[in-house]
Amino acid sequence: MNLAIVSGKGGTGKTTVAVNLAAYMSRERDIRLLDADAEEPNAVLFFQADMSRDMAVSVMVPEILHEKCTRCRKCVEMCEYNALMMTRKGVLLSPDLCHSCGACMYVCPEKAILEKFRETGRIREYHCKAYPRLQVIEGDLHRGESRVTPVIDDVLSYAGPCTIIDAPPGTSCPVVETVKHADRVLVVTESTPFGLHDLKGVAAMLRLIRKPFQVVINRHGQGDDGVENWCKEEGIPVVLKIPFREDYARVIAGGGLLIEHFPRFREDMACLAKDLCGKGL
Amino acid sequence: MKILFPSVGNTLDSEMDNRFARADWFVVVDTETMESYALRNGEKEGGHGVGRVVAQYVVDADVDMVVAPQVGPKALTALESAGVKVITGKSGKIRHIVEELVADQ
Repeated sequence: MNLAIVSGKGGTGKTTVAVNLAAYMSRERDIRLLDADAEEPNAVLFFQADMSRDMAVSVMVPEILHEKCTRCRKCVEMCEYNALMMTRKGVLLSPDLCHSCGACMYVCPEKAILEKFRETGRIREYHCKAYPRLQVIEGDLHRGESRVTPVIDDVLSYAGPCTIIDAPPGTSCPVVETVKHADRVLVVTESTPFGLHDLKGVAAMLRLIRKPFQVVINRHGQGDDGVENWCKEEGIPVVLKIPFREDYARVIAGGGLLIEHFPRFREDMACLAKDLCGKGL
Repeated sequence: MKILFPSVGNTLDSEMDNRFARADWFVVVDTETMESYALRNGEKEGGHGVGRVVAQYVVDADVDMVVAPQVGPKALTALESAGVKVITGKSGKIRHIVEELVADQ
Protein backbone atom coordinates (compact mmCIF):
# COMPACT_ATOMS: atom_id res chain seq x y z
CA MET A 1 0.00 0.00 0.00
CA ASN A 2 1.38 3.37 -1.04
CA LEU A 3 0.32 6.56 0.69
CA ALA A 4 1.33 9.78 -1.05
CA ILE A 5 1.43 12.96 0.98
CA VAL A 6 0.96 15.95 -1.29
CA SER A 7 0.23 19.65 -0.99
CA GLY A 8 -0.88 22.07 -3.64
CA LYS A 9 0.98 24.82 -1.87
CA GLY A 10 4.60 24.47 -0.77
CA GLY A 11 5.48 24.89 2.90
CA THR A 12 2.19 23.60 4.29
CA GLY A 13 3.72 20.81 6.36
CA LYS A 14 3.76 17.88 3.95
CA THR A 15 7.16 16.70 5.12
CA THR A 16 6.21 17.20 8.80
CA VAL A 17 3.27 14.84 8.37
CA ALA A 18 5.27 12.36 6.28
CA VAL A 19 8.26 12.01 8.61
CA ASN A 20 6.20 11.86 11.81
CA LEU A 21 3.69 9.40 10.42
CA ALA A 22 6.46 7.21 8.99
CA ALA A 23 8.43 7.24 12.26
CA TYR A 24 5.31 6.53 14.31
CA MET A 25 4.11 3.68 12.12
CA SER A 26 7.58 2.10 11.90
CA ARG A 27 7.33 1.20 15.58
CA GLU A 28 5.02 -1.67 14.60
CA ARG A 29 5.87 -2.48 11.02
CA ASP A 30 8.46 -2.04 8.28
CA ILE A 31 7.98 1.33 6.65
CA ARG A 32 9.64 2.85 3.64
CA LEU A 33 9.61 6.60 3.48
CA LEU A 34 10.29 7.79 -0.07
CA ASP A 35 11.29 11.42 -0.44
CA ALA A 36 10.11 12.18 -3.97
CA ASP A 37 10.52 15.92 -3.53
CA ALA A 38 13.71 15.49 -5.52
CA GLU A 39 14.35 19.15 -6.21
CA GLU A 40 14.70 19.77 -2.48
CA PRO A 41 14.75 16.49 -0.55
CA ASN A 42 14.69 17.13 3.21
CA ALA A 43 12.87 14.27 4.95
CA VAL A 44 16.13 12.68 6.10
CA LEU A 45 17.07 15.83 8.03
CA PHE A 46 14.53 14.83 10.68
CA PHE A 47 16.39 11.60 11.50
CA GLN A 48 19.87 10.90 12.75
CA ALA A 49 20.33 8.65 9.76
CA ASP A 50 23.26 6.82 8.21
CA MET A 51 23.50 6.53 4.47
CA SER A 52 23.69 2.90 3.39
CA ARG A 53 23.56 3.28 -0.38
CA ASP A 54 24.16 6.06 -2.89
CA MET A 55 23.27 5.35 -6.51
CA ALA A 56 23.18 7.31 -9.75
CA VAL A 57 20.03 8.14 -11.71
CA SER A 58 20.78 8.29 -15.40
CA VAL A 59 18.85 9.10 -18.53
CA MET A 60 19.71 8.19 -22.11
CA VAL A 61 20.89 10.92 -24.47
CA PRO A 62 22.04 10.63 -28.09
CA GLU A 63 25.68 10.42 -29.00
CA ILE A 64 26.35 11.68 -32.52
CA LEU A 65 28.98 9.85 -34.56
CA HIS A 66 30.15 12.87 -36.54
CA GLU A 67 32.18 10.85 -39.05
CA LYS A 68 29.02 9.00 -40.13
CA CYS A 69 26.74 12.08 -40.13
CA THR A 70 25.80 13.43 -43.58
CA ARG A 71 24.09 16.53 -42.11
CA CYS A 72 20.68 15.58 -43.53
CA ARG A 73 19.01 17.29 -40.51
CA LYS A 74 16.38 14.56 -40.11
CA CYS A 75 17.21 14.24 -36.40
CA VAL A 76 17.09 18.01 -35.87
CA GLU A 77 13.67 18.22 -37.55
CA MET A 78 12.37 15.21 -35.63
CA CYS A 79 13.34 16.44 -32.16
CA GLU A 80 10.18 17.70 -30.47
CA TYR A 81 12.17 19.30 -27.66
CA ASN A 82 14.68 21.28 -29.76
CA ALA A 83 17.54 19.46 -28.14
CA LEU A 84 19.41 19.04 -31.44
CA MET A 85 20.80 21.79 -33.62
CA MET A 86 22.70 21.77 -36.91
CA THR A 87 25.85 23.87 -36.85
CA ARG A 88 28.92 24.32 -39.02
CA LYS A 89 30.59 21.70 -36.84
CA GLY A 90 27.75 19.19 -37.21
CA VAL A 91 24.82 18.17 -34.99
CA LEU A 92 24.96 19.72 -31.55
CA LEU A 93 23.08 18.32 -28.52
CA SER A 94 21.69 20.39 -25.64
CA PRO A 95 21.48 17.56 -23.10
CA ASP A 96 19.26 19.50 -20.68
CA LEU A 97 16.47 19.70 -23.27
CA CYS A 98 16.61 16.01 -24.29
CA HIS A 99 13.65 13.91 -23.11
CA SER A 100 15.37 10.60 -23.97
CA CYS A 101 12.68 9.60 -26.47
CA GLY A 102 15.18 8.09 -28.92
CA ALA A 103 13.37 9.45 -32.01
CA CYS A 104 16.59 10.98 -33.41
CA MET A 105 18.28 7.60 -33.34
CA TYR A 106 15.25 6.03 -35.00
CA VAL A 107 15.09 8.49 -37.93
CA CYS A 108 18.82 8.67 -38.64
CA PRO A 109 19.29 6.99 -42.05
CA GLU A 110 23.06 6.67 -41.50
CA LYS A 111 22.84 5.02 -38.06
CA ALA A 112 25.08 7.83 -36.90
CA ILE A 113 23.37 8.17 -33.52
CA LEU A 114 23.98 5.94 -30.52
CA GLU A 115 22.73 6.38 -26.97
CA LYS A 116 24.76 6.98 -23.85
CA PHE A 117 23.98 7.46 -20.17
CA ARG A 118 23.92 10.85 -18.54
CA GLU A 119 23.64 11.18 -14.77
CA THR A 120 20.95 13.64 -13.66
CA GLY A 121 20.55 12.78 -9.98
CA ARG A 122 21.21 10.40 -7.07
CA ILE A 123 19.13 7.96 -5.06
CA ARG A 124 20.24 7.60 -1.43
CA GLU A 125 19.12 5.05 1.07
CA TYR A 126 19.27 5.74 4.82
CA HIS A 127 18.72 3.83 8.05
CA CYS A 128 18.47 5.24 11.54
CA LYS A 129 19.17 3.60 14.88
CA ALA A 130 16.20 5.18 16.65
CA TYR A 131 13.75 3.74 14.11
CA PRO A 132 15.21 0.40 12.99
CA ARG A 133 12.15 -0.60 10.96
CA LEU A 134 12.20 2.62 8.96
CA GLN A 135 14.05 2.99 5.71
CA VAL A 136 14.34 6.44 4.13
CA ILE A 137 15.01 6.66 0.40
CA GLU A 138 15.51 10.05 -1.20
CA GLY A 139 15.80 11.22 -4.76
CA ASP A 140 18.09 14.18 -5.35
CA LEU A 141 18.07 15.94 -8.71
CA HIS A 142 21.40 17.54 -9.63
CA ARG A 143 21.42 21.34 -9.61
CA GLY A 144 20.65 22.86 -12.98
CA GLU A 145 18.78 19.80 -14.28
CA SER A 146 15.24 20.48 -15.44
CA ARG A 147 13.68 17.02 -15.71
CA VAL A 148 12.83 15.70 -12.28
CA THR A 149 10.51 12.85 -13.35
CA PRO A 150 13.25 10.27 -14.08
CA VAL A 151 14.56 10.72 -10.52
CA ILE A 152 11.03 10.45 -9.09
CA ASP A 153 10.39 7.29 -11.12
CA ASP A 154 13.56 5.76 -9.68
CA VAL A 155 12.67 6.69 -6.09
CA LEU A 156 9.20 5.22 -6.50
CA SER A 157 10.63 1.94 -7.73
CA TYR A 158 11.70 1.40 -4.09
CA ALA A 159 8.08 1.23 -2.90
CA GLY A 160 7.55 -1.68 -0.53
CA PRO A 161 4.51 -3.28 1.10
CA CYS A 162 4.08 -0.24 3.36
CA THR A 163 5.23 2.98 1.79
CA ILE A 164 4.81 6.65 2.62
CA ILE A 165 5.75 9.06 -0.14
CA ASP A 166 6.68 12.68 0.50
CA ALA A 167 5.61 14.22 -2.83
CA PRO A 168 6.89 17.37 -4.50
CA PRO A 169 4.68 20.44 -3.98
CA GLY A 170 2.35 21.82 -6.65
CA THR A 171 0.07 20.10 -9.15
CA SER A 172 2.30 19.62 -12.19
CA CYS A 173 4.10 16.65 -13.82
CA PRO A 174 6.34 15.70 -10.85
CA VAL A 175 3.29 15.45 -8.55
CA VAL A 176 1.22 13.54 -11.10
CA GLU A 177 4.17 11.17 -11.57
CA THR A 178 4.27 10.64 -7.80
CA VAL A 179 0.57 10.12 -7.08
CA LYS A 180 0.18 7.89 -10.13
CA HIS A 181 1.82 5.13 -8.06
CA ALA A 182 -0.15 5.83 -4.88
CA ASP A 183 -3.16 3.93 -3.60
CA ARG A 184 -4.12 6.67 -1.19
CA VAL A 185 -3.45 10.39 -1.06
CA LEU A 186 -3.33 12.82 1.85
CA VAL A 187 -3.41 16.50 0.93
CA VAL A 188 -1.78 18.75 3.53
CA THR A 189 -3.03 22.33 3.42
CA GLU A 190 -3.25 25.36 5.66
CA SER A 191 -6.30 27.42 6.56
CA THR A 192 -5.42 30.52 4.56
CA PRO A 193 -6.75 31.84 1.24
CA PHE A 194 -3.50 30.68 -0.41
CA GLY A 195 -3.91 27.24 1.11
CA LEU A 196 -7.47 27.03 -0.18
CA HIS A 197 -6.54 28.24 -3.65
CA ASP A 198 -3.82 25.62 -4.06
CA LEU A 199 -5.97 22.92 -2.41
CA LYS A 200 -8.58 23.51 -5.11
CA GLY A 201 -5.87 23.07 -7.74
CA VAL A 202 -4.55 19.82 -6.34
CA ALA A 203 -8.11 18.53 -5.76
CA ALA A 204 -8.96 19.18 -9.41
CA MET A 205 -5.82 17.31 -10.49
CA LEU A 206 -6.53 14.33 -8.21
CA ARG A 207 -10.13 14.11 -9.42
CA LEU A 208 -8.92 14.21 -13.01
CA ILE A 209 -6.69 11.19 -12.47
CA ARG A 210 -9.35 9.57 -10.24
CA LYS A 211 -7.37 9.35 -7.00
CA PRO A 212 -9.43 9.46 -3.82
CA PHE A 213 -7.95 11.79 -1.21
CA GLN A 214 -8.36 13.16 2.30
CA VAL A 215 -7.25 16.45 3.79
CA VAL A 216 -4.98 17.38 6.70
CA ILE A 217 -5.23 21.01 7.81
CA ASN A 218 -1.98 22.27 9.28
CA ARG A 219 -1.50 25.42 11.39
CA HIS A 220 -5.18 25.19 12.24
CA GLY A 221 -6.58 28.14 14.20
CA GLN A 222 -4.60 30.59 12.15
CA GLY A 223 -6.10 32.21 9.07
CA ASP A 224 -9.80 31.64 8.28
CA ASP A 225 -12.47 28.94 7.87
CA GLY A 226 -12.26 28.89 4.07
CA VAL A 227 -10.57 25.48 3.78
CA GLU A 228 -12.90 23.76 6.26
CA ASN A 229 -16.03 25.21 4.68
CA TRP A 230 -14.91 24.27 1.20
CA CYS A 231 -14.08 20.68 2.24
CA LYS A 232 -17.52 20.42 3.86
CA GLU A 233 -19.24 21.68 0.71
CA GLU A 234 -17.27 19.30 -1.49
CA GLY A 235 -17.69 16.31 0.83
CA ILE A 236 -13.92 15.90 1.23
CA PRO A 237 -13.01 14.26 4.57
CA VAL A 238 -10.70 16.26 6.85
CA VAL A 239 -8.85 13.54 8.77
CA LEU A 240 -6.58 15.71 10.93
CA LYS A 241 -6.25 19.29 12.11
CA ILE A 242 -2.80 20.17 13.42
CA PRO A 243 -3.02 23.24 15.66
CA PHE A 244 -0.90 26.32 15.06
CA ARG A 245 1.56 26.28 17.96
CA GLU A 246 4.85 28.02 18.45
CA ASP A 247 6.39 25.04 20.31
CA TYR A 248 5.60 22.81 17.31
CA ALA A 249 7.31 25.29 15.00
CA ARG A 250 10.41 25.39 17.21
CA VAL A 251 10.82 21.60 17.18
CA ILE A 252 10.34 21.40 13.41
CA ALA A 253 12.79 24.24 12.79
CA GLY A 254 15.33 22.40 14.95
CA GLY A 255 14.96 19.26 12.80
CA GLY A 256 13.06 17.34 15.48
CA LEU A 257 10.13 14.94 15.26
CA LEU A 258 6.91 16.19 16.85
CA ILE A 259 5.99 12.66 18.00
CA GLU A 260 9.08 12.65 20.25
CA HIS A 261 8.08 15.87 22.02
CA PHE A 262 4.30 16.12 22.12
CA PRO A 263 2.00 13.32 23.37
CA ARG A 264 -0.91 15.10 21.74
CA PHE A 265 0.76 14.95 18.35
CA ARG A 266 1.62 11.29 18.94
CA GLU A 267 -2.09 10.65 19.48
CA ASP A 268 -2.87 12.53 16.29
CA MET A 269 -0.49 10.24 14.39
CA ALA A 270 -2.00 7.20 16.13
CA CYS A 271 -5.48 8.22 14.92
CA LEU A 272 -4.21 8.87 11.43
CA ALA A 273 -2.35 5.54 11.35
CA LYS A 274 -5.40 3.71 12.66
CA ASP A 275 -7.59 5.32 10.06
CA LEU A 276 -5.12 4.44 7.31
CA CYS A 277 -4.53 0.87 8.57
CA GLY A 278 -8.24 0.26 8.87
CA LYS A 279 -8.26 0.86 5.14
CA GLY A 280 -5.33 -1.39 4.37
CA LEU A 281 -2.02 0.44 4.81
CA MET B 1 30.87 40.37 -40.94
CA LYS B 2 27.15 39.64 -40.48
CA ILE B 3 25.68 40.76 -37.17
CA LEU B 4 22.19 39.95 -35.90
CA PHE B 5 20.30 42.14 -33.44
CA PRO B 6 17.01 41.41 -31.65
CA SER B 7 14.82 44.39 -32.44
CA VAL B 8 11.48 45.97 -31.64
CA GLY B 9 11.15 47.16 -35.26
CA ASN B 10 12.31 46.15 -38.72
CA THR B 11 14.79 48.90 -39.63
CA LEU B 12 18.31 49.98 -38.72
CA ASP B 13 16.81 52.85 -36.74
CA SER B 14 14.83 50.53 -34.47
CA GLU B 15 15.73 50.00 -30.83
CA MET B 16 17.12 46.65 -29.73
CA ASP B 17 14.65 44.38 -27.94
CA ASN B 18 15.59 43.52 -24.37
CA ARG B 19 14.60 39.93 -24.98
CA PHE B 20 16.52 37.86 -27.49
CA ALA B 21 14.58 34.76 -28.47
CA ARG B 22 11.22 36.48 -27.95
CA ALA B 23 11.99 39.69 -29.79
CA ASP B 24 9.52 40.86 -32.47
CA TRP B 25 12.18 41.17 -35.16
CA PHE B 26 15.76 40.28 -35.94
CA VAL B 27 17.73 42.84 -37.90
CA VAL B 28 20.78 41.48 -39.76
CA VAL B 29 23.51 43.91 -40.84
CA ASP B 30 26.50 43.19 -43.09
CA THR B 31 29.20 45.53 -41.79
CA GLU B 32 31.20 45.37 -45.05
CA THR B 33 28.40 46.55 -47.35
CA MET B 34 26.21 48.15 -44.65
CA GLU B 35 23.27 46.30 -46.17
CA SER B 36 20.58 45.21 -43.77
CA TYR B 37 17.40 43.17 -43.71
CA ALA B 38 14.86 42.17 -41.11
CA LEU B 39 13.44 38.75 -40.21
CA ARG B 40 10.14 38.49 -38.37
CA ASN B 41 10.53 36.22 -35.32
CA GLY B 42 7.98 33.45 -35.82
CA GLU B 43 8.98 31.89 -32.48
CA LYS B 44 8.02 34.92 -30.39
CA GLU B 45 5.18 33.05 -28.67
CA GLY B 46 7.03 29.72 -28.59
CA GLY B 47 7.12 27.52 -25.50
CA HIS B 48 9.94 26.08 -23.43
CA GLY B 49 13.29 25.89 -25.21
CA VAL B 50 12.51 28.60 -27.76
CA GLY B 51 16.05 29.98 -27.36
CA ARG B 52 17.38 26.86 -29.03
CA VAL B 53 14.98 27.14 -31.98
CA VAL B 54 15.98 30.74 -32.55
CA ALA B 55 19.66 29.81 -32.24
CA GLN B 56 19.15 27.39 -35.13
CA TYR B 57 17.68 30.21 -37.27
CA VAL B 58 20.63 32.41 -36.43
CA VAL B 59 23.10 29.69 -37.38
CA ASP B 60 21.19 28.98 -40.60
CA ALA B 61 21.23 32.70 -41.50
CA ASP B 62 25.05 32.36 -41.53
CA VAL B 63 25.49 35.14 -39.00
CA ASP B 64 28.95 35.68 -37.43
CA MET B 65 27.91 37.65 -34.39
CA VAL B 66 24.88 38.35 -32.22
CA VAL B 67 24.65 41.64 -30.32
CA ALA B 68 21.87 41.98 -27.75
CA PRO B 69 21.05 43.54 -24.38
CA GLN B 70 20.87 40.00 -23.01
CA VAL B 71 20.68 36.42 -24.32
CA GLY B 72 18.99 33.58 -22.43
CA PRO B 73 21.11 30.64 -21.22
CA LYS B 74 19.83 28.10 -23.77
CA ALA B 75 20.32 30.37 -26.77
CA LEU B 76 23.71 31.50 -25.44
CA THR B 77 25.16 28.00 -25.01
CA ALA B 78 23.80 26.94 -28.38
CA LEU B 79 25.15 30.00 -30.21
CA GLU B 80 28.56 29.81 -28.60
CA SER B 81 28.91 26.08 -29.24
CA ALA B 82 27.94 26.72 -32.85
CA GLY B 83 30.77 29.24 -33.16
CA VAL B 84 28.67 32.42 -33.23
CA LYS B 85 30.21 35.27 -31.23
CA VAL B 86 27.76 36.75 -28.72
CA ILE B 87 28.06 40.24 -27.25
CA THR B 88 25.59 41.24 -24.54
CA GLY B 89 25.07 44.33 -22.41
CA LYS B 90 24.43 46.65 -25.37
CA SER B 91 21.21 48.57 -25.82
CA GLY B 92 19.78 51.44 -27.87
CA LYS B 93 19.41 52.07 -31.60
CA ILE B 94 20.87 49.37 -33.84
CA ARG B 95 22.46 51.96 -36.17
CA HIS B 96 24.45 53.44 -33.28
CA ILE B 97 25.70 50.07 -32.14
CA VAL B 98 26.78 49.16 -35.68
CA GLU B 99 28.69 52.45 -36.00
CA GLU B 100 30.31 51.84 -32.64
CA LEU B 101 31.36 48.31 -33.60
CA VAL B 102 32.70 49.39 -37.01
CA ALA B 103 34.70 52.20 -35.38
CA ASP B 104 36.21 49.72 -32.92
CA GLN B 105 37.40 47.39 -35.68
